[in-house]
Amino acid sequence: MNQQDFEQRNTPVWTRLDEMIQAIGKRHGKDQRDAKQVEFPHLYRQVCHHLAIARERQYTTHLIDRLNQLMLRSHQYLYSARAGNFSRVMQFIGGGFPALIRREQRLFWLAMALFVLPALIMGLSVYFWPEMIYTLMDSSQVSQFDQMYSPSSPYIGRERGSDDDVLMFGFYIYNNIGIGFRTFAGGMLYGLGSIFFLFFNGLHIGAVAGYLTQRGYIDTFWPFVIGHGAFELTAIVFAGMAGLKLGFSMLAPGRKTRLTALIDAARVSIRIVYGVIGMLVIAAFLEAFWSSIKSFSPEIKYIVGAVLWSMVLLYFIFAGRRHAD
Amino acid sequence: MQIDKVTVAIRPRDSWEAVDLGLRMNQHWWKAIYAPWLIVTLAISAALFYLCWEMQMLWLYVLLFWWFKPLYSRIPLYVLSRTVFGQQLRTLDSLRAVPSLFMAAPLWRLLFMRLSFIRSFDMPVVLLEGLKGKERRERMQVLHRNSASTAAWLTVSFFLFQLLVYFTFLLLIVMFIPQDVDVKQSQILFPFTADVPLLWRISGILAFTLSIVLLEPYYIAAGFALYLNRRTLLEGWDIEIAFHRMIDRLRHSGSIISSLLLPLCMTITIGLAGMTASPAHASQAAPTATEAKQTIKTILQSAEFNAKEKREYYRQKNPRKNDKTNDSDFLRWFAGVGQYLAVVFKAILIILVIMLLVWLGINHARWSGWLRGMRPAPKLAAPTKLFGLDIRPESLPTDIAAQALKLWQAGNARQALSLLYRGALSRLAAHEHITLKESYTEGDCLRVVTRVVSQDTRQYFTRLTTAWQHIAYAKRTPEFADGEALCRQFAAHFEVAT
Amino acid sequence: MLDTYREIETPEGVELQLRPAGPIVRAMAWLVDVLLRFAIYMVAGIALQIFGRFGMGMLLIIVFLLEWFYPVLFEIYWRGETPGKRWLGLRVLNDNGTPVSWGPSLIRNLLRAVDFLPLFNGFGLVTILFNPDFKRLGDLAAGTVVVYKDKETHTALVPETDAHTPPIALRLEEQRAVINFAERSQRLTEVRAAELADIVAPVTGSQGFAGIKRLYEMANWFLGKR
Repeated sequence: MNQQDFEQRNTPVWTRLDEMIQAIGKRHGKDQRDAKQVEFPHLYRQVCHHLAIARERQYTTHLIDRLNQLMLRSHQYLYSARAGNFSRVMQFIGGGFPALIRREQRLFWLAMALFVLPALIMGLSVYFWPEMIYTLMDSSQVSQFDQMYSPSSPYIGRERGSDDDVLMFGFYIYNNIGIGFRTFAGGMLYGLGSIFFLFFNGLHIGAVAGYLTQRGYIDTFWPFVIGHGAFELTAIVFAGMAGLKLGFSMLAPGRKTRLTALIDAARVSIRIVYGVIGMLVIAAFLEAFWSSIKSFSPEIKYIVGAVLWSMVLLYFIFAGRRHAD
Repeated sequence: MQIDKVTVAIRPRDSWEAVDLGLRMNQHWWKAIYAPWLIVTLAISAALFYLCWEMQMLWLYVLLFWWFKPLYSRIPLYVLSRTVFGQQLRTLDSLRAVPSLFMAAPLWRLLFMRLSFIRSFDMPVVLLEGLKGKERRERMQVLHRNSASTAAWLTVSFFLFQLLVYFTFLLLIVMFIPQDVDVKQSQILFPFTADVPLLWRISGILAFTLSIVLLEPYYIAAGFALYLNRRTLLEGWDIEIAFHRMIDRLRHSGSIISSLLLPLCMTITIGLAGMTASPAHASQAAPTATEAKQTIKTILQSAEFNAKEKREYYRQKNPRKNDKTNDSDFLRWFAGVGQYLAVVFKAILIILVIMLLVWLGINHARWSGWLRGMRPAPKLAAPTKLFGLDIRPESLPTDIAAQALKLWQAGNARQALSLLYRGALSRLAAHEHITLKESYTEGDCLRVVTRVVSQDTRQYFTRLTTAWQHIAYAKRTPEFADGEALCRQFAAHFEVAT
Repeated sequence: MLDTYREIETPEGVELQLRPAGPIVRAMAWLVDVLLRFAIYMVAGIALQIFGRFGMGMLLIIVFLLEWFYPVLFEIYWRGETPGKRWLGLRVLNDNGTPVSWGPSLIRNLLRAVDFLPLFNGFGLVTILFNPDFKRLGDLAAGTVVVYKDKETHTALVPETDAHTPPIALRLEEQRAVINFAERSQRLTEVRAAELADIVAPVTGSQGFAGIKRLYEMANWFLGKR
């Protein structure tokens, strides 16, 4: 077949594909379903085939360039990112996430230890030797905590306005999820950044808890933190765990190259981070709108807190046991 | 310069791509460039430092080392201009050339050059083309026409990069200094004045020197590449190279009479022989152990890592903000609206959460599987055709592997691989409970399949898919032995007892 | 041959060319995005301030979303471009040349936190300078690469002449060289154009200006004129 016949016979295919690309391009991201229809990949494969033929038979540059261009453009559309698939999200929540955490158990326990041990040690030290807290904070910070949780504080016992709640919700989103992300990203420094964040946050939380308990602000502090802590503390540990995974992949890449090991680890880590985001949003919601309610007695807060904690525990221990992944 | 021997890909590029090529050149030939460069600059730096130390004017070091940059940056330019055209330089050769390089243009030009915004672009013209006076001016005018603005932006960018790398290094070095050194905030980043503790001043000078030593060759290489690109455009270098190659090929294939060509081709054959790609030794692994250790230490103390206790924000900022907004009735009215909106927002949020919970409750069947494990996804009707291939079990022979092997050995490579691939998909769809959609590409199938099957099968299926794609879309037939292996191993992976 | 280009092969067995973009253009794109975000914060800040604490809360959420997810969402929904990248003609691709997907985009943009250290992308810059594909740490981990966008093809503008069959079958890259010559010869000096044409005199069978004309004719033929 000479070039002219070849062009004549196949031009309908090329123009059809071209039209489809233009149609998809106009809708720009909103609706790319066309690219996923059967026709599109089919046409695309035909064009690839034509291009190979044209190259092999040394047809003119003009034709080859045209086909090459067409191939490249459709390649971009065919492989463009799929919109989040709802059932996959549900699958992840319904079992994929806890299964993932369980699969990476060893990292979890490591991250947990890096967080909880400093918290415990610091908490007990401050409880027995309150002046220890000044190794971490200066006096103005300490007195702020004093004011915040002192039963005589004007903020305690007074119901917060909705605008305060929204402000704090925004702040928790901005600050806590940011910390979660940095804890993860720090893993890129051979894990040291994540270790630091876990350790430092552990120390800090331990110190505050120990100090306020020692001061006797038990009924103002613990009921406040118990509820959202179930999600927030676990999420921080998970974020650290995701970061550690990055770090380990670079330290001990095994039989892969360091770079492939890193890329593979990042693929897994980022799924943990998806979960972390979700948990921290829940935590921010609870902290702003539930933990801040003053009109419930501490007992109710404790009960709800216990329920939340056991939900989280049960979820991560049992959910998705038979999950395929 | 012999264009035939050029070792970089010559083609007309956009200005910024040309700059990128320059950076790439500096990465690629870093040994040849940095060895003589380090020796000379560090020697000069040491001498200057001693001088300024004796004179008790350390700040002068910063000025002088910066001012004379154009002088020593002739070294990387010299190395590049040789290496790009295929000449292998040893460090010693480069060092021998240094005295003549330093003498090449009168020193007073430095003053002029120093203030030029397109220094790295003009340097090749001045130093390599050897033109003088009016001729050079005219030449420069021609060269500047398209590239001067990029060259100027290049200089600005590298000035900023320099600053940034300097700060980075400074912060890394400062890590190792005892923290109780008394430095004013304003002096932290530029500790060169006499009232700063000596240790800090020296750290500053070290960081400053290192940043110049690291970045200057990049800058010079980028300017040089820009210059090469401009000449490529003006003189059609890429065309020349392609034409030479064309003639060379035709001569070898005997399509044209060789006697006509001999004078033209003598140089090129050598040039082509020297053009084999050299191993890329650039720095995947460069930011490793020692460097990272240093960086980590800095970071751990930088502001970035000092996570703040979240509750203090609430107390400090808002009362003040609030007071301000209460200034006028108008603003107070808005603040009132804000409170109203907050209630609405909060309510909406809470309602959404409740709706979500209710929804989850109603649809508990969809997720409650988690306590017992996931239910298998509802099975879709398996497609009968994928990318034009019929994968219905009844369309396939019973012994796929044997049939494929027969085809393969008979030379029907495409049919054999097609049969294997169809067979594999068909078996997978039937037995492994994989949902294949009609719209899937081979890539999609591969992704779905690898999630389910065992490690071995996954590897096999990947190989099979690649082989199939090559033959189907690129008309490339795999090695005979590979194809045979694919046929023989098929049974082990897919002939599961049914 | 040293080049910034990188050839990769698609699953369909066709070659794809990536042109990784260097630090300067990327810094500019980043700066544009930063300024844009900053402008949004300013406007949102002023507008929301009057709503008091509710406004502040909203502002914080906006800042959070923009700081972390602005690049991600743009990269997904604009096929690898953010406004800054679009301005500079860049886009993000996966290493295999496909448009960047959710996971990698999120990875590279969260790890920006590390690239940003110790201040203003210091680590990122140093990594880019050392990496042959100009990748920062985030790109390394995500397996992504920032490339120059492909331009729309233009039809080659060669001088209109009659088309002539070349006397010898030429390969693709040789055909390209002839077309290139025809396109660009007017911007070369006449002497230089003749010099180049003389190199292939054995193919065209003529010297000097006659040679140039023969090359034009061949170029026209390659471009499909009959």
